[in-house]
Amino acid sequence: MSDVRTILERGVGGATPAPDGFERMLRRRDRKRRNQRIAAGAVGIAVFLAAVWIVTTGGPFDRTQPAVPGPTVPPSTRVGFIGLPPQDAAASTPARGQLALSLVGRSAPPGDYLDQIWVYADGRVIWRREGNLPEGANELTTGLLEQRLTPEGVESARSEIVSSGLFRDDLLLVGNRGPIWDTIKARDGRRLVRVHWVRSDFDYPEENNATIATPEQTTAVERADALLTDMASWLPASAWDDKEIRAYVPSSYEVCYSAVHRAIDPSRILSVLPAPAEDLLRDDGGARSGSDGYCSDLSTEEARALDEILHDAGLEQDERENAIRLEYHFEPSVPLTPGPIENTVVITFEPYLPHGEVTCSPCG
Amino acid sequence: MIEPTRLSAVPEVVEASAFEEFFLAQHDRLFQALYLLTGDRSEADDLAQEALLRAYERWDRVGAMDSPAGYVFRTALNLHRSGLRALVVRARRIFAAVPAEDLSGPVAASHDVRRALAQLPRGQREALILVEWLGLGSEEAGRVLGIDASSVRGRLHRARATLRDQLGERDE
Repeated sequence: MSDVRTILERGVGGATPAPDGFERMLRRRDRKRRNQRIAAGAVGIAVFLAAVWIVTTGGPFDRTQPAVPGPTVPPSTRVGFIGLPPQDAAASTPARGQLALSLVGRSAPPGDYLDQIWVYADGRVIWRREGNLPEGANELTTGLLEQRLTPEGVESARSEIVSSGLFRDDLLLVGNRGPIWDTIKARDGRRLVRVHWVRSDFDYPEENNATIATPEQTTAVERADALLTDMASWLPASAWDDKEIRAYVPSSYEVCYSAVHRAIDPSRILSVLPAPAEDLLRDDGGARSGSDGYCSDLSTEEARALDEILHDAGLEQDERENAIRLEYHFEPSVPLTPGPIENTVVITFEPYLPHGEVTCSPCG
Repeated sequence: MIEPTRLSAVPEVVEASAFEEFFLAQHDRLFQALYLLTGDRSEADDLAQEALLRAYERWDRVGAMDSPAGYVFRTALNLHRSGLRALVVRARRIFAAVPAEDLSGPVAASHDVRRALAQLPRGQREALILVEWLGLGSEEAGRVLGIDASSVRGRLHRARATLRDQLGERDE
């Protein structure tokens, strides 16, 4: 037996799965089937109601309502959405923006939620939080939301954050209290300074150049995190141009398609999509490699057209994944490669932010 | 009447016993591999259940594969990589107030190994667990990970060295 195998056995420490694994799996299958039946029934009812509504009003059919309404939050209060925006929603302007501040991080228990906040020089504050907030899209996430500061409000927030002296150079810090991890960026003139924080008792740095945080740095990270994740509590009313929470409506999406077998050429994957979808993604002119497979950039209108093509072709959306982002899964009738291998194709839609970054909805 | 939606047909009476045999042979091994990968019992259990269920739903095809276990582990890896599974497990924990992990007794004794594993880059950790724990060859591990066998061997070499360094077990 190899020494590494012995080490791994020590790591397992005799852990075994919860008992009755096979029966639990069968119960899981039953739950899944029941949910699919309920979903099919709900879709049937919704299609019927929509048909009645369209016939009686001639109005458009909006498929972008929250996928999973929360159990305690009235759906009427929700403004966030997952996937594509409502047909009549105007894109956030301007299309491009310069980042002044940002934070992506996870708070420590008992909260243990992911926060993502981007503050732009033009005043926009775009944010998303894991959890069941009244304005959110569903009980798992708010979706991307938007508020607006005045330019002076942005500068006030930025100067408050950088006043700690933490944001002079890029840092990778390991500490023993505060958030589980954070990546905070603050603009200093033309530079965007990045401070990455990892809490040693929860997470581990992925890079080798980490340093142990001083008490002052720890305090500065905790403070920056607290300020950025709750700007409404400390910025004066005059700092806000529009404090009302709205959904962030992107101008474009990154659409990625992949097969489980990643060695498959992108054109081979495209060839098993419905022909209009293949044309739309080919017209984009490129299949660059991204974290979710091969990716193309589409305007929101093109993304909506693609969604309708995939939806009309009967491709399956995964209930769980679609509570976080728009995602299709399907097994093409013609296998991607011969032989008994997994042929599932996955198509994901991720919104672009004004500074040109694509969000990673399921990350965290 | 509501009709069931499309599911992969599983001729249950005929196939269930073959699948159950497969399940019983693989479940503990898969759970332990995923526990080493994630360091979280709840997540490992959830991933193992979901991956095995997906194999069950497609057992007519998966059962005919050269390596059904490879399929199940690849499915579990993909589920883990999506990040969503961890989010759902965490969300469940918050809503159900399930304790995160009991760090007493034998679990504490194995904590140093899981900590060292967690410090490995994900690709190295996956290669190490596939080869050292599940006993796959580097060719098959490469097929599961979608990389060349030589890359698997490279990752393994680095992972083993780092693990021994971390745990102070390098041969002098």
